[in-house]
Amino acid sequence: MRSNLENGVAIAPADVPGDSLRPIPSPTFRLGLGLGVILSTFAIFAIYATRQVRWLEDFQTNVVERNRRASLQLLRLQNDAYLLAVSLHDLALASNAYPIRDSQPQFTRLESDMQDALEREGQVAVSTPLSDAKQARLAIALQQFRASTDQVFSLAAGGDDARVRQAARAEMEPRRVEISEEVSELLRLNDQAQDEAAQRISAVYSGVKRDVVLLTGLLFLLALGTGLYTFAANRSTFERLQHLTDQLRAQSEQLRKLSWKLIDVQEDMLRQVSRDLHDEFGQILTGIGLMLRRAGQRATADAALVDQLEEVKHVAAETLQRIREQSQMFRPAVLDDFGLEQTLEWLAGVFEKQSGTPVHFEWNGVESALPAEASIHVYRVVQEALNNVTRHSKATEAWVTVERRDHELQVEIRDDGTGFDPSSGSDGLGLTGMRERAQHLHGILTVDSQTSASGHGTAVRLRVPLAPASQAPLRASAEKVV
Amino acid sequence: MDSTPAAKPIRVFLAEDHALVRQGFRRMLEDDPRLQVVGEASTGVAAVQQCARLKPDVVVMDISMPELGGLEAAAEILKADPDIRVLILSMYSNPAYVKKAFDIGARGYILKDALEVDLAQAVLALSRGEAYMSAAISNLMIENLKTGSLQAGGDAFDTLTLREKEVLQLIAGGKSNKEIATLLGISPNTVAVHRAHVMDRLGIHRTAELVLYAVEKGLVQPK
Repeated sequence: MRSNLENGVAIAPADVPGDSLRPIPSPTFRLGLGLGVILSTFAIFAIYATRQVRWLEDFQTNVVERNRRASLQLLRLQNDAYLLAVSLHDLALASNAYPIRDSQPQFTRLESDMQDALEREGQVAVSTPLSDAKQARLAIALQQFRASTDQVFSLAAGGDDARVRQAARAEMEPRRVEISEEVSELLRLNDQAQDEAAQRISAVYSGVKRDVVLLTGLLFLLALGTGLYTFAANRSTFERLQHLTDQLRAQSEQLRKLSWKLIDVQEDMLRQVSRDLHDEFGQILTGIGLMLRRAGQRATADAALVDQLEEVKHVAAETLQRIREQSQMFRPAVLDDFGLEQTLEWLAGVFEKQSGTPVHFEWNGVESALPAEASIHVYRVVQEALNNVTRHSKATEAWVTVERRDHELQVEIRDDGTGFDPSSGSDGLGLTGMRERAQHLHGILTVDSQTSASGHGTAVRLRVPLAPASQAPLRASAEKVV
Repeated sequence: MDSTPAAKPIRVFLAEDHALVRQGFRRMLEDDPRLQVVGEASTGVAAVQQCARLKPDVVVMDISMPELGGLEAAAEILKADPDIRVLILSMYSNPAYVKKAFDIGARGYILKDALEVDLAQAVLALSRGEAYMSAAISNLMIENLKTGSLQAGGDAFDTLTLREKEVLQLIAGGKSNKEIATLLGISPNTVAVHRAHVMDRLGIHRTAELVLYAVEKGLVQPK
């Protein structure tokens, strides 16, 4: 049954306070965890991306750059091979007017340049088994070509031009072709390596791109999850708080109603006790007094008996007097019979007589129009305030002033006594009860006082709205206790 | 004593809700041969009905009666026959009750005080056409007259000090305590004290009545 309400979203009925008083789970840990995951994912990705970029940099300097430089050397070789072909063609032509001997430096220069280019290419080129083999074969081809060149030019020294030309065609030409082929092959390999490098770079880029998309998605999901969780936690917390607030309000409303009910019960009881005291015991004592009086009149012969009867009668009379005073304090009959104005005037008189402190009563405006059920609360406030004056204030004078306005009754009880500090928490002065009664009447009670010996005194002010005649000014009168 | 035993007894009706007290009063009345209790009632309604039938000389009416309150019942009885004398028995010494009792036409007001009650004397006084009040009540009323606005002549006014008369005049002129304080060069609190004293002396606790009083005294001109 309870488990239906476990989520706390459902509004629990007000009479199951235990449910709502469960501790509210804190979302902090889970939120922290979510944030941690997001941050560490970021960190990991940053490291990964940095490494990828650094690898790309290395790869470009090590492979691409070397390839580029190797290809320059290979182009140089190709160029040399082409010049070699041209030179060899000239040498082999019979129509060539220049002496054969003169072309030897040209060949020597080309050969050494090719040798140099090949060495350099070997230094920078990325080493693969295939390219190494080709390089080795090119080196051998160059060597053989040089050997055949030497052979051809040693024939030339002999002056046999025709044989030289033939030897050049037969010995040098095939070697040259071989060299050209090897250079072309190396160039092709170099291009291939370049392409492969480009492909690897592109693969790395697309890998990183894919990872970025993946990571962005992941982070988005994580953020979304955390956000949704935050949202849900927030909402459930606020709902719970709202629920608790509602319950608190309902409970304080109930408490207030209860306290009003207590006041009403108290007033009813006081009224009952007052009536009982007055009507029952008062009457019985009156009856006893009458009987005693009659007995005294008849027993004139016995002086001692008359005295004793007189004494008992005196006790009965005093008791009666006390009962009357007490019952009037509990609930003055004059309030029901004549209204608030007469009651407060009477009360001021009683206090003046009892305390010896002059109490000035002033009523301005017409009669209060408050029903007795409401007036009793005003009466109690004035009674309590006057009690405070006589008990605590050391006042020399007190004032009870009532202003009856069109829609409001203003009552002020003021004295010129020592005052007190209204902000001090303790309530030995019945202020809480006075405030409750004021609230009960939908009115306001203010206390103006400060501690001083200069006689600033205390002023208790009560303002009670007077409802239009059609409206009952007192809610509780409808739910009176039976 | 001015009446002889042969004279016709005074017919008394007793209305009191509490049996014990009623019995006590009845015995007290019956002890006097000049009085004859012709009937009694324990509710206001019964008292009105029986008095209409019995036509007593004097009705002794308790102020708090069930069904119909004592004062209301007395008013009904007097409305039906104004010649009947009504004596109110009451436990309230509050002048408001006394005043209301006399307002409706009662001629006597006795406190149900065991020590003091002399019911037979009171009934006899009423039958002679006199009014009657308990000593405590008459003292209270005298006190009220002495300080109250009901007094004849200007006695209470003469007891006011010059300053108090000044304050009274200014209040009647519509000035607030603060304005009066400024005009007279005294503190508002002092004005409040003067005002309270004036009201106490004159037995008035409403500003409106105070203004009316001042107009009657010629202190201010009505506008």
